[in-house]
Amino acid sequence: MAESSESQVLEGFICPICKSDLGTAVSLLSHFQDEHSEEQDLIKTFKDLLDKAKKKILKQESIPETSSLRKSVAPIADYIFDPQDLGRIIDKPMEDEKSQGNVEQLRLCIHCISLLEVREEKRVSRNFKPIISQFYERLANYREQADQLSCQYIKMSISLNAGESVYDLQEAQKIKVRLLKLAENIDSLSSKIAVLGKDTENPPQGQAFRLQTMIRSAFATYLRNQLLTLPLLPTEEQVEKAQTKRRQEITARIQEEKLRHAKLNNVVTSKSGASQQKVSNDPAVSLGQGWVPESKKVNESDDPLIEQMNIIRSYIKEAKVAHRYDEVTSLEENLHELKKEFWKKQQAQDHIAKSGESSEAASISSNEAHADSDDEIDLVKEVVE
Amino acid sequence: MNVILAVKMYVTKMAEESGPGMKVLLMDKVTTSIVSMVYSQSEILQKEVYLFERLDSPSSTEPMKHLKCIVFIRPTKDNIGLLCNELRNPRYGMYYIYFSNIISKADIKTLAECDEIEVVREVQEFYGDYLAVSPHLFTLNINGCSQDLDWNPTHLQRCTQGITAVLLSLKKCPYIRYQGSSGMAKKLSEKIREILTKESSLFDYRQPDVPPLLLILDRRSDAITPLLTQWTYQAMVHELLTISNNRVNLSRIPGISKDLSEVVLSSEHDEFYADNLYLNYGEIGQTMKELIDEFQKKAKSHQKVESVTDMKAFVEHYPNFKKMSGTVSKHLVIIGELSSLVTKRSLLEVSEMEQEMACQDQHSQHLHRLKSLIHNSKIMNEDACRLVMIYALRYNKHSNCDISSLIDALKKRGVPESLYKMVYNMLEYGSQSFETTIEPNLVAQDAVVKITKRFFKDLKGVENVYTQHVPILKETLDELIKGRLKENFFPFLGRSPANKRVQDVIVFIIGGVTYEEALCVHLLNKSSANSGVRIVLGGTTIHNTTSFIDEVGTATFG
Repeated sequence: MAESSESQVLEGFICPICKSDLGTAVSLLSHFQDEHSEEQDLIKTFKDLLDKAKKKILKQESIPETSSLRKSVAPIADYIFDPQDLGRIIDKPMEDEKSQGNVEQLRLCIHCISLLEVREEKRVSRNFKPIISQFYERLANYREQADQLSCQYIKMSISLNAGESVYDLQEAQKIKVRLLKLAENIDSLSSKIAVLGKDTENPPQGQAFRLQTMIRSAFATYLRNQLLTLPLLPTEEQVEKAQTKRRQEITARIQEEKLRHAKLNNVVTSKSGASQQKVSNDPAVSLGQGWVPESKKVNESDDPLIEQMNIIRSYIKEAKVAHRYDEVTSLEENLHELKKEFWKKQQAQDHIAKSGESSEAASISSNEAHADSDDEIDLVKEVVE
Repeated sequence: MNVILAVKMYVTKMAEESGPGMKVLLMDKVTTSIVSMVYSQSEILQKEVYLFERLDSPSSTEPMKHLKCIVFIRPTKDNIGLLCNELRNPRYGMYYIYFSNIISKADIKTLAECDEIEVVREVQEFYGDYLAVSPHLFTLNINGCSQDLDWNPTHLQRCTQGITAVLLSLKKCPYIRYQGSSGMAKKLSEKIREILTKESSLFDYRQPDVPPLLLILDRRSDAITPLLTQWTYQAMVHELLTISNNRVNLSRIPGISKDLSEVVLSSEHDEFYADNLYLNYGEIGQTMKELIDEFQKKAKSHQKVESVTDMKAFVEHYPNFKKMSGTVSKHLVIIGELSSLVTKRSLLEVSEMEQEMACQDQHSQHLHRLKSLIHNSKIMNEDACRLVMIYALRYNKHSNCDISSLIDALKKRGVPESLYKMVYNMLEYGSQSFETTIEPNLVAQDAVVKITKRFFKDLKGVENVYTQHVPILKETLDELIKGRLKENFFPFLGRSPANKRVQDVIVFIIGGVTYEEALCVHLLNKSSANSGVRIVLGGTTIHNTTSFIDEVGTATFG
């Protein structure tokens, strides 16, 4: 190293006090213990060292990295680092060490050593993934999947039980199977975690063991409360029954609307005649209070469903103009139901029309698309209009 | 305004902010109670918090670097020191630190310097520095907050911090009013005001049309309420069995089973308790019977689990069944014990006497009855003492007041000196109990109103002789709601608002609150006639008779 001090550069196993060359490390040590065991010697050595260090720090801007560093042994504990290790620790690429004879080394003070050690430890621990962490990650993953699926499942179950044809029973059953499998996985994996390492020579103790038991307990509770209390799916017949019932309800509602509309139409036309007579045949309806859409010419169509949808659409337009927004809402709901029915009918027709194709795939995909977004149902509107 | 929800939200946020992964919650003694009041263990397990450690007494030093550590502690000097040690030699992988109150920049700097390994990811203030007992009730668990009728400085600081946390967690920057006759109330108000000013940026909330109010009262203005025997479920359990941090120690009950030696009474996690804590003794007998009937029905139906459908149904309902049977046995034991104590100690007789003295004005009759009661050996020493205390507080100014003969009677029946001396301490402590809202030169109108009220009350008779007492707090709050709380008795500290209307009120009683007063506040909150006022009540502690007498002892000592 480049030394700008006045003193000569001495190499070898030099005693720092009397500067005599002892040859080997062992003889240096014994010489020192014999000759320089007094306190003053130690103090002098210490002072010496500090002076040297001060000089170095003040005169040099950067710490010399590699290349030939002198090795000198001092009685004060010093740390010799293999540059390989150091390089790894400070993430710097090291040049090829092991040059002939001279093993390159760095001298560091206690504080720097501990900082570097700590940093190394942290780097190691960041990548430290004990078995339990890996298992746990998997477990958490299962749980996330189960949460999503059970959400979907519950929606489907409610819809099917209400007789809606938005979802397919078989699809729902498949999801239930997946959920049960996940529950099984969660159960077995969390049990595994609970007994992890029990049969090894170092069984987990204290907090480590408690961690494992608590994880098991938490997931067992999760299973009990979330996954084992899912609603049941209806059977095929029950689905049929519910759907028929619902269709009947819808047609009944449509009829009722038609009737009401017709009645009021009569009332309207009679009123718009010369007479100023008060209403009406139907005591339940009075023109003064309610609002009623006027009759209009609608596109005649073969399909009563489409006809009805058109009628409702014109009502919606009128209601919007008349600012009857609650009427708009209920009419739109009505329209929505009709669209669903129409869509289902379309599907059934398509399904029959298609031959040889995997009909299941078609109906499932169409149903899923159907279920996903109401926007898609508006495709029907485009088709019709 | 819900203090349970406020603290719960903090804990939830703590658990979630660190993201997914296994977590350990590191707390100190106080924050452990704070968390356990609002979060059950099963709830917090679902948030991936699997281990719980105490900063001041770690159970082990084994490192577990694959765990994230959530630290929730009070910002005390000791805690900072301990945390520094932990950070220098961290056991866990990453640290997310939450202080339950305001922490100084200097302390944060100290912590930062100790974080050599840089394991800290978050440092925040989450103001959950109080124990939330009910949505409208909180306590600071301070016993003996005063000495020599003035503040113990440590407790004054704790109160200031606790109230600050309540205000911050509810996001209120209030006006302050205090009990004028109480020096301690004034001091506390000033301390709070200091904080509001110093940390004005923290309190920079959008002020609603009707600004919130902090009302600081003194227990001394109503020493009677904590001395009365209680007959509503929650208050009764506390009075006879002592509720401490929502827990009741039942181990003294003969023949008690091991898993019932300590039970939790939390309205958040126990439906029966939530429905019944304000009902009175007669009513809970009825609801208990209904609960048992329902339980038996379910139990019977689960006895035959022969067919698969039966089994399925059983499994489906099992979690509820197990929960229910635990609840049923817990409440059965408690109510059974209450009932046995009532009989053993002749509490009905005692209570009747208490209520009469507290609410009626018939000195000679009361004195006479009291003397005979003291001679009754069925009554415990503590109950005899408390009766004399109530007499003393009530009739102290009466011309024929004869406390000394009552003390003699107590001596005769073997009451230890330490106990009967407390009668005088009680007098010193609570001498204002019957005078607070009444000034000697009473405004004529007020006097007339009071007299007419009493007249009608006497005429009507009493609905339930055991629950006729109304704490003074109720009157104070009624006046406040009507906008008629007199400023000379309850002055504002600093600025006062333009109009006297109130909307959100936080009441703090120095010296402790009682469950009876909590019930009053609960009813006020529920009542539709109160024009939308919401009240939260808090105190240095929640008293029963025993703890109150101790408090008075500490307060008057020295």
